[in-house]
Amino acid sequence: MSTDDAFDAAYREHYWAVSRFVARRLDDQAWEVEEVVAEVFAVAWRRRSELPESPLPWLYGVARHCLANTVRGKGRYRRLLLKLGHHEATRDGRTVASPDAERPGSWVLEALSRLAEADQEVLRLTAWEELTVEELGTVLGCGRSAAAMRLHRARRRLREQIATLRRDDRVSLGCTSGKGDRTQRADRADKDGQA
Amino acid sequence: MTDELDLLREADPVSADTGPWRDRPLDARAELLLRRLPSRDRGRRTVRRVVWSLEAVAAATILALALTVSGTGSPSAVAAPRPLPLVAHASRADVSLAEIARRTRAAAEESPGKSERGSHVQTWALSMKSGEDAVMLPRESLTRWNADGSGSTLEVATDPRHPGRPVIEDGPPPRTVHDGKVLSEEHYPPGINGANMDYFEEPPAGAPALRAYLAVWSPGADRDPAELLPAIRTFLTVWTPGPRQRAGIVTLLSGIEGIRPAGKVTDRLGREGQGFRFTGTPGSRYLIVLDPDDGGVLDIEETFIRDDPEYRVKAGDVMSYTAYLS
Repeated sequence: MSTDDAFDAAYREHYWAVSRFVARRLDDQAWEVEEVVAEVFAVAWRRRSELPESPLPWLYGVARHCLANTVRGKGRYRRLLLKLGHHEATRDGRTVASPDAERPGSWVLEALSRLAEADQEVLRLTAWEELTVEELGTVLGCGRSAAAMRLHRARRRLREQIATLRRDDRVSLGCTSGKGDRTQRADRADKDGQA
Repeated sequence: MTDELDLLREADPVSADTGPWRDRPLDARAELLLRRLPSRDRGRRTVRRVVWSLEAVAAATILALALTVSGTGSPSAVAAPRPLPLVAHASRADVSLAEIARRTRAAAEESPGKSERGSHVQTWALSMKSGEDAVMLPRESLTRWNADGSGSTLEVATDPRHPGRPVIEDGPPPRTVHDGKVLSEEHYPPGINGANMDYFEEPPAGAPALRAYLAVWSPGADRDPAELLPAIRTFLTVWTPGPRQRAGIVTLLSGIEGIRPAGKVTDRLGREGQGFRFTGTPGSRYLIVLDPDDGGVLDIEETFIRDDPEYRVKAGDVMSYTAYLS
């Protein structure tokens, strides 16, 4: 298969995966996503001689650079970062408000947004793009061991943030509704009375 | 207990199963993007450069640039009022229609691939109104169909000779729009939607069968060359023919009485081909440009052969120009 044919095959097979990669890191504006995806494949086309046998992680790597350039170049970088942490504002119906509700949605994304950008990206690539540790290394430009270590640390930090949110949420529920306090006081009063 | 990666997976904001980025065959926009990748456009850029340089030396306003044809031993044939050649031609001997038909049939026997339903076409069509100047409307169309009957069509206003410049779009009244403006975009779900279009059945192999097939949708195409050429033009906007159908088309063309070689041609997209002229239709003349190697139809141009003051057109003006990109 010639290089051009290999590129065509990769394009046809992975166009939508690359689009999702970009869409997850931008807002819902389809034209913005399409614009960046077009740039990703234009760059990939110019570098098609480097196309590896498993092209998807490599394409993600190209997409990361394009996203950074595009977003930064247009002064949208801050907006992007904000949006990455506030998907609930743009993904109506897909997210829920509290750790006790049925779907994790916004609070998991909230926990994610509290991490360093590098940790967030490792986790997104693993959970959403479903990359193996080896593929993670390809996208991030590091070795397998380094990628595994970065993922391990990022997962631990996410666990900590989720636990913190759960704790905060319990406290918050108690304070804002007042029910928790009243219930606790009533329980205490009963116990005191019994005593 | 669900681990943190499972929780994150459940919160994935973009689904592979639903929504605009779900997995599926490429849509028309994605197909167009693939075909427009930078260095695949080499031919177009060549012709753009030439056109710009011509504009620098000749500021005359015309409706459209026509093909310039140079035949060995014959005077230049100009299909619109601009006598300058578009590009320097390679010194390659002309190839006769009979020879192209022979090559194409041999290729079809060697590799009888199937026709593909769908097309990629650039057109320039003249819009005329009584008592007003005619305007040329350039459009690029991409049509794709999948095995399950689903498909898409995309039509954008663009003139590859003038990238980035405003393009005239039909009115009323005609107006300029930005280059690349999407004029129409349709998506068809799986099923038989595509069957509502002309030429929905797969085209047969062999010139006689193909002629009969064309006549089903274009009555008279089996008897009259003046009907056959428009039928081929339309057929090629629906199908991208395989080798056997290409051979059938060239064989049909070679059987037209009065079709004449016009010499080597560089078309509006910068592609070299072999031109053949036919003046058997009332009021217009055809120029068909073939790829001499595989018999593919590159372009079909139709020009006026006499002035028509009512519509402010002159003999030699281009009535329509269709370039087949796939």
